[in-house]
Amino acid sequence: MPHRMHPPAFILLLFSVLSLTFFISQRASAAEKLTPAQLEFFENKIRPILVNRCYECHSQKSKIVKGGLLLDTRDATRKGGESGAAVVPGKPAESLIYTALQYDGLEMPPKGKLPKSVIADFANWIKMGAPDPRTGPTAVTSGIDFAKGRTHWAYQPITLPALPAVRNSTWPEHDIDRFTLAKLEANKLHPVAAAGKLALIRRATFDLLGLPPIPSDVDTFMADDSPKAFARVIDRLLASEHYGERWGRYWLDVARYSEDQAHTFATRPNTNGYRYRDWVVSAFNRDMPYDTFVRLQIAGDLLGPTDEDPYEHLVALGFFGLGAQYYKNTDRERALADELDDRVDTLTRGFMGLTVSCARCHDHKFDPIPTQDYYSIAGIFRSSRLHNAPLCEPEYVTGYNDGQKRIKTADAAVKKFMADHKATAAQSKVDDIARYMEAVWTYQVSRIQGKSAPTAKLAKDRKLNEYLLKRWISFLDPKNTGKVTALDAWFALDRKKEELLAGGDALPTSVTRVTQGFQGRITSLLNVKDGVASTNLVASKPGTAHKPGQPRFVTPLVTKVRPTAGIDLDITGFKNLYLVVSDGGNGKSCDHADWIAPRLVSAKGDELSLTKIKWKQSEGFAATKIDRNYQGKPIRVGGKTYPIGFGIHAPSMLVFEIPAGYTRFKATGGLDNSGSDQPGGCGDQASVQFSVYSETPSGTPTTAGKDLLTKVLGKNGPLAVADKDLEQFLTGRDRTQLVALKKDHEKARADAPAMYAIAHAYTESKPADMNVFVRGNPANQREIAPRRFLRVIAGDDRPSYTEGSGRRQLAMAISAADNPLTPRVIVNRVWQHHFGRGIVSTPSNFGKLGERPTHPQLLDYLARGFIDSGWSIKQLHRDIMLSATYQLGTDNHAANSEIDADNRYLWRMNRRRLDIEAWRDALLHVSGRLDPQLKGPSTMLSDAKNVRRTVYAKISRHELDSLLRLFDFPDANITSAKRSETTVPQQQLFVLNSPFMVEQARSFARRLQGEGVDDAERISRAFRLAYGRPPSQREQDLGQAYLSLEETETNKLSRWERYAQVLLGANEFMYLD
Amino acid sequence: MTANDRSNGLTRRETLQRMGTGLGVLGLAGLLAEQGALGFEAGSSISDKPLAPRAPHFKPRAKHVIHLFMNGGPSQVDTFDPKPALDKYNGQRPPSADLKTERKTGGLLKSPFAFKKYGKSGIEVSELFPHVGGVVDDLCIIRSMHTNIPNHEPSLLMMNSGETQPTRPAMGSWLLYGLGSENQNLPGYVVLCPGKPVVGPQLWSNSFLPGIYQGTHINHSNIDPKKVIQHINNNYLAKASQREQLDLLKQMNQLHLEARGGKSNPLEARIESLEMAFRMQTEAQEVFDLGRETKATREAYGTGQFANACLAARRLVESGVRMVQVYYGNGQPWDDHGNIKGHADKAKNVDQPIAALIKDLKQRGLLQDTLIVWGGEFGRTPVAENGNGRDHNHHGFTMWLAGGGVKGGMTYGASDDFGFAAVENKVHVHDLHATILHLMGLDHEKLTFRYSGRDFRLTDVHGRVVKEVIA
Repeated sequence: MPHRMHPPAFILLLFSVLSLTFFISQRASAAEKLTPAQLEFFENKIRPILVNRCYECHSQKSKIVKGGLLLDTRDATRKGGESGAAVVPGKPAESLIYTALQYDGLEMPPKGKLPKSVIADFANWIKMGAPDPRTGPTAVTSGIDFAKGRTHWAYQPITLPALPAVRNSTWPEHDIDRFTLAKLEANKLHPVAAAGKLALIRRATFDLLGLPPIPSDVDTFMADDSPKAFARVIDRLLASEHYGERWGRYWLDVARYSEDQAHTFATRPNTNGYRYRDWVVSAFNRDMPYDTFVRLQIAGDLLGPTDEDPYEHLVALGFFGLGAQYYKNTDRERALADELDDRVDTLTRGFMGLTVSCARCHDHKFDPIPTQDYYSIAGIFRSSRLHNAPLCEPEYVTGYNDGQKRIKTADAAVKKFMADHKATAAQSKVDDIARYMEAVWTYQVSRIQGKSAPTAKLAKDRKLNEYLLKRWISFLDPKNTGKVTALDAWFALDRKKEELLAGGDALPTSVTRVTQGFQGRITSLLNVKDGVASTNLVASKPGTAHKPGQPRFVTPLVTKVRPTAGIDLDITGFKNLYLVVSDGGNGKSCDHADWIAPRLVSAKGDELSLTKIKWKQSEGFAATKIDRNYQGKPIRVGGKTYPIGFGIHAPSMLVFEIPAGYTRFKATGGLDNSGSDQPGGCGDQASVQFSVYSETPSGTPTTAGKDLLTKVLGKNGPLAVADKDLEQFLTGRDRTQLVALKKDHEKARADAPAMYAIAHAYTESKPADMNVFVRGNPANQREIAPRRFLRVIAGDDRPSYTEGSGRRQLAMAISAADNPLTPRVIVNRVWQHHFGRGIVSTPSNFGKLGERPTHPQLLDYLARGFIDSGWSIKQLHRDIMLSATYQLGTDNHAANSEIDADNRYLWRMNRRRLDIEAWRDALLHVSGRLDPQLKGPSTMLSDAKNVRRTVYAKISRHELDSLLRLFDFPDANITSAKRSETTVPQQQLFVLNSPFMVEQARSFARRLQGEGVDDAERISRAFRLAYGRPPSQREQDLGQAYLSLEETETNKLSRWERYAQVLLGANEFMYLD
Repeated sequence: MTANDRSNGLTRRETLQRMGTGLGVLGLAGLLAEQGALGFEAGSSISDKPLAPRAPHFKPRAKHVIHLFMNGGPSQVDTFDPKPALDKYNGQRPPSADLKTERKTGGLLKSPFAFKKYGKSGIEVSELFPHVGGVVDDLCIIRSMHTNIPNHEPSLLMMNSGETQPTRPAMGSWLLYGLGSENQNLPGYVVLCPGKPVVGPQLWSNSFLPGIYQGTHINHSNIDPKKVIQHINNNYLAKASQREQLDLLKQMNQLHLEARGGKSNPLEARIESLEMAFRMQTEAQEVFDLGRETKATREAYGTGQFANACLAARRLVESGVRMVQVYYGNGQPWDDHGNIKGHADKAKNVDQPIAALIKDLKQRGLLQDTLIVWGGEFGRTPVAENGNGRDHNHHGFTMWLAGGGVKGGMTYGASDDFGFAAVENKVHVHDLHATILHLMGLDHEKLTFRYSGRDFRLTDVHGRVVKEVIA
């Protein structure tokens, strides 16, 4: 009804139609003609909703366009956003806008579901082809311009830059200095004075070893006037095996090394994780070429052993083998995807400084990394899996497995023997039940009378086993009243009254009646249990000899289809009648059954209904009901109601003594309707079977009977014997046999080869490409991402990986000399640890959002030289440390700081705080307590007596050691590029009050007592040990004054111990010039 | 200002502060952290005083958060979301209702607890919470909470860090990073739990934020002021002797500083930090000394671990601590699969202390500055498990807020007729986080930390500030 349209909308419509016409002429794809009705529908029902409820986040005018989705033009709406097409004309179910409105997976608009009528409008609109007059581009352009992306500095090939010209040509000591000086001069900065020799050797020793120099090393260096003096120091330090402990730990930050997981649910700690740590330390000590170091960590299993070590190629895989494992109890796919993300992230940031993980949900917003590239790399890891690799010959593993099998077999033999004999041991005591109960009676009565009743004596007097007697005493304790029905009579006995009546030593007959009755009950149940009847009931064939315990009559299975079975048999000569109903053998439990009109018939034809006489015994799943089904309702079978009969729930047994004169038993067995018809019941599955015996059936006892046996003979029962006590109950051959079996078990244990070392490694799995997950959602997959390297580095037509998972090819690509990232990234990391800041100050992000290098040419110069040196990290240290730049002092310079307060251009050396490892190790070193031992399983820092180097501390993702956490150790859940450095009072509380600090202070003070004749000498020695220098006069005076102060309070630390603590806690001990 | 001053980072500190107030540039601080400002001497403003108070993005409604964490997942239909339909359909599973649960469950289970109207607002509260019912006019009850996964571990992580895997900083860490703390002599983010909840320390982890933003876990099963914080007490020296020792240390550090030009932010910061530590010994021990409270106050809170924790929480926020989390108990105590009547004992332990906490804060004028958050990691099913128990339910549950700029005496959102799923004005955990940050004066989309090439947020890419609950 166009006449009802408001004028603005009409104008809009007109405009839309006009532009649409124009649009059609431009683009054939938009060729569709909107009828006036369609237009009206859109304008009245659809556009207002889009404008009011969607445009805030999904139009070109939105402040932030969410999900890459625009809904303000026809084309953009159809193209959709990151999740796919918002509208598929004609198909509401495939249109994301419709599912989102329905709050089905996606939930839009976020503020609340729209009314049903509106959602229905959208469904209708889409069904009619989503007529949409709105023109305009699809906007939000996506797609990565690789050519442009590659112009970013980090993707450029590594060049060998010419040495820059400098004005001050005398300052440089090394080519490195030409690069730094050129920058300084260009920025009108002047290098400060070189560091003094004391500061330099202290700096170098902490830098390379993470430890302070010892006084004799300082003296040697001070006395060496040759130009090679510092080079000699560097070589000495690089040759130390403590070098690897320092630099290996830097790498472990990148590798987010840890031996456990953040959560403990269904994960196991990686107990051999330390082997990877030790390998890293050793690789640095050996100066393993860095490209090899990289390759082994990615694909060692595929590269094979090195010349140096037959297993290091497996241990090196700990880089990924110790990676994060996440909760998989719900949303397993998502958790697996998260684990892949850990691998991709650690790999790309750790080795190449690329944040490929950003492309997991959408193309990288800043770097030329499409989502497909992310899944190309992820697919390589999806085609691999975690694997605990044995670090031994396969034969040893076989031998170990055999040994374990033998232990298991021997163990099983012991267990089986014990189980068998325990049952026998228990059953053999069944005949003593009454005597045990009677002993308990005596015991209980004595207690009531306030007399002592030692169990040892009682057992001895009665020739009973004391161990079992005690068990009987607790089993028959009045607190268990009501727990075992068969003992109701026992607990009902009036102890005081009965004993008075009896007097003397004799037991009252009321008691013996109960005890013997109970013993009889257990015996008869055992007889049933030990019978040899099969569970498939077969009545003895007429004319054949009847076997005791076999049924006399068996009905076919009674089911819903055939709900009744007639029973008619000759009972001549029977004394008793055992009416048994079993569950029909199917284990289903809707076994409601009825003995309909059960009756005895005499020769003359007189009938006696069994419902009129009392049964001898009734056992079953439920109590037997007379003339009612077991639930107490009328008996109904096959839809018919029967007035007379027994209602039972199988399994059940009724026992009757047959009165004289009856020769036949007749009845109808029926499946009660309450079972077959109960809601959620067994329906057609319900089945029961009726059988009649003339004596105790052999076969399974009823449930109640079984329960009773378990309670008496089971492992918690009074007759049970614990494994460890069994031996004393055995005699003769049995006992010998058990001893022999136990010996076998022990021997198997002793003979079994020890568990071999393992590496938490990676191995190949089924190679397969992954699909791209739309917005990272495993449930929404798009095109295949072939396994291959990153396009920005490997080129537009890079090959797919075809060798297994592709991990070896990936390792080669990352460690290739022409990969511009890998060498630059490691060179920059090493630089960072020498200067406190990298040439690129975001060491794990060389992308667009990372910092640009302050000295790009220097970075290339170092990277080029690094490759040419055979990827030698040690050579890199030499180069860096021999530069004048490294040897600068930390002095301030007013004019320089005016221009470059942050010292980006290195006009001085940065003053650095020792990291927790170096600080703690130095404390131990100076106090004389450091244990220099290398390698081995992790130690706990929480133990104040732990004097190993900090690199050997247990690193936990679940609960990081509190000391490490306090001093800025990184969270081992994620790769860490650099430590943050915070200064907070809790750290100082550690310095002032912790047992660890006090322990070091005490040791240091002790050590100093032997190193001087008076306080002045000791103070000098203390400064030399702690700071590498003698004290100033002022410091000497301060120390002496403190040490000679009068004591006014009672303290647990001596003056010297307190003074030692001050020296260790001072800034000079913690900060490095 | 001399050039010398600037060389030691003052300009940067000033710049940072200016940016911090003007541009809401907390994200930039994070950027600096990654770029290296947190690494060495120059420009180390955040790292020298990482807990110093920082200006929020906009005027905050609250300054402190107390999160009363009913870990294990309390049932909504037995506490604050009455459902008469459960009585009507007890034992049944109406075919029209979609009640699909993680494990097999039986019919609907009516609440064994009666509900009653309280306060001027007349909001119905179960008999489990008569005291809390008494302050219902201060509560804003959100009956339409939902989360992602019906398992404790991921849901505990979601409630604390906005992510189901253990890889993100906790909300308390974010708050501390964003706002610092008002009291430098106490930890800024305190977690009270007698023992440890399921998952454990990861729940208050700083993750990629600097370690100082980690929550400080205090096992309050036996509050000994000398032990609550690691190394808070000096067991070796008498007070005056310690002061004497510290004076020597101060002099040595001063000489060391003078030899280096007399100016250096990190060196000075550490000197100051040592003094702070000395003061912290006294202050922290005082704040945990509940014996300093009056008899009347102690009686109002009642006895037991939870009561003590509530009282300690009040003392902590009173002293300027940014966020306090009080876990109900070790493990996951509210996880009543076996019998929902088990809620009675737990409610008895928390009801009086919670009401006392609200009244106490109010009386001291602190409630307006303190946001109280009550709830578990998810709710429970209205259908029965194991006869009388209830299973986990992430589709719908109830939490409530009080104080700190939220409307009192209101309910927000609704679950379906059986209390199974949130249906009206749904509030996801991300939305709750966004709202809490908003109340604290932080824009959840701007409180970011650059890590791994990405600006991370507590709310990831989600979150809506539920403005309707804000007073």
